[in-house]
Amino acid sequence: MNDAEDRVRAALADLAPAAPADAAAHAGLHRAIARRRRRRTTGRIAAAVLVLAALAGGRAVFDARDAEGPAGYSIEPGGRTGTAPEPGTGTASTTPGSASPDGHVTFGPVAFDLPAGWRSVLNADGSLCLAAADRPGPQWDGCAGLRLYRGELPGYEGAPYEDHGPWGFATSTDPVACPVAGGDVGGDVGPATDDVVVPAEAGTEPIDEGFRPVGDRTATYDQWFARCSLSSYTFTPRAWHLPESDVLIVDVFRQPETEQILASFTFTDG
Amino acid sequence: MDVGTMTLRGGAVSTAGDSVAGERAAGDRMALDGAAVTQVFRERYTELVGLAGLLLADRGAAEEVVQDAFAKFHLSRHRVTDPDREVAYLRSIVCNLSRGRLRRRALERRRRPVPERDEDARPDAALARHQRDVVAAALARLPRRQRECVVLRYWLDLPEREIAATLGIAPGSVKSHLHRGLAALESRLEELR
Repeated sequence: MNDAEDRVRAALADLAPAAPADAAAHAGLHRAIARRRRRRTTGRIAAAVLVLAALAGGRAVFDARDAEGPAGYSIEPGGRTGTAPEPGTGTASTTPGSASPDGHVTFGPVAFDLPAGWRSVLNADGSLCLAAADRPGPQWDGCAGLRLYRGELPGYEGAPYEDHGPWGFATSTDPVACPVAGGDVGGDVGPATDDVVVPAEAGTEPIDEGFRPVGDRTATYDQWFARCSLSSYTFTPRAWHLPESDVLIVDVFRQPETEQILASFTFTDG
Repeated sequence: MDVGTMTLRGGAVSTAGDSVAGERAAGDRMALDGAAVTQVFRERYTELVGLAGLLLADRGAAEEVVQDAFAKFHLSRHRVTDPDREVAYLRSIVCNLSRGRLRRRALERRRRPVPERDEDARPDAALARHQRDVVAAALARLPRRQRECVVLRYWLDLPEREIAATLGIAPGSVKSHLHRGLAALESRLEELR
């Protein structure tokens, strides 16, 4: 056996804490189970409230007291357009949105045009989901289309987003269920919970990287490869990072209209 | 007390004696699951606390992380269809939760400096502490992936294929992380000889 390996083994054995699975440990386990069950219940109640609000139809106004997202954002009837205020200020940073016939959306320092039939939805974390309203397909973190972030840009396993870094689209710290079942995007699009998203031979590093235009600016660009551990499903998420505007656009399932939307971007931050 | 004697239906905790006939099958399934998780807990707890402790350099935090990992495992165990993959799934959860804990700790330290700790001043205790501190510092200085690979390989003696499955990375990446991590640690351990 390698001498260096032996020394490292001995050093780690000396350093590692020893803790028996005693009564105190079991008590800690029960507390942890109770905490997780309480969090699940709270999450389900919050999700049910949002669903009921959406089913009520028409305008849905998020108040800063009730949601974690910015206050004052409104989803116009039909959900085609909306404006998002600066986070934490509780007021719109631009003219409050009234439905523009050509689907114009403002999101902080950027504005863009949505294709016909697309809608934008503001999430509780302040990010936007842009998706075609009547297109079935897999979802990533609840969004079937493009996800836009601004300000604090999340990256791999919740760390800050890193240009040309590992899997910038995968912000969860836990294994993620495959977005489709049976590897058939055209058929069953429900998640398969025994089948999880894993890297392939390329690992989590980008398979393509560089710079791409967004409006009249240049974004750092990355593309990754991901597959599902049991099914044959694969996908190539992409991301465009605009560091001056602090905006990140993530397209997990390669929407056909992505380049069209990116080309329409304009900027109000200089 | 073990997980197996506490079954949960609809958010209420009950004992086996409270089973209702119509829900007996579901209750029995959960009780069996609880007993199996308890067994894994007894068998793997110490090992996983060692793993988390080496990643976090904090025994208290390591125990919390491992208890939380078992809780998550207990509540999502139905997702693991291959019993041989259960321990690997547990290790993945421990590594993931440790990462989250390290990130939060880094944020807290930026807001609040860590106070000096009282230490045993005897020469032999001080020397042992110094040696341990050098190893701990060398381990903490490794990039996250190298640290995880080194601990899984040289603390848990996992083969590279198993490390790759635990961390969700390619076996070739494991080999590379191990090579670099070992080289970095070796140079620091040399000064203790």
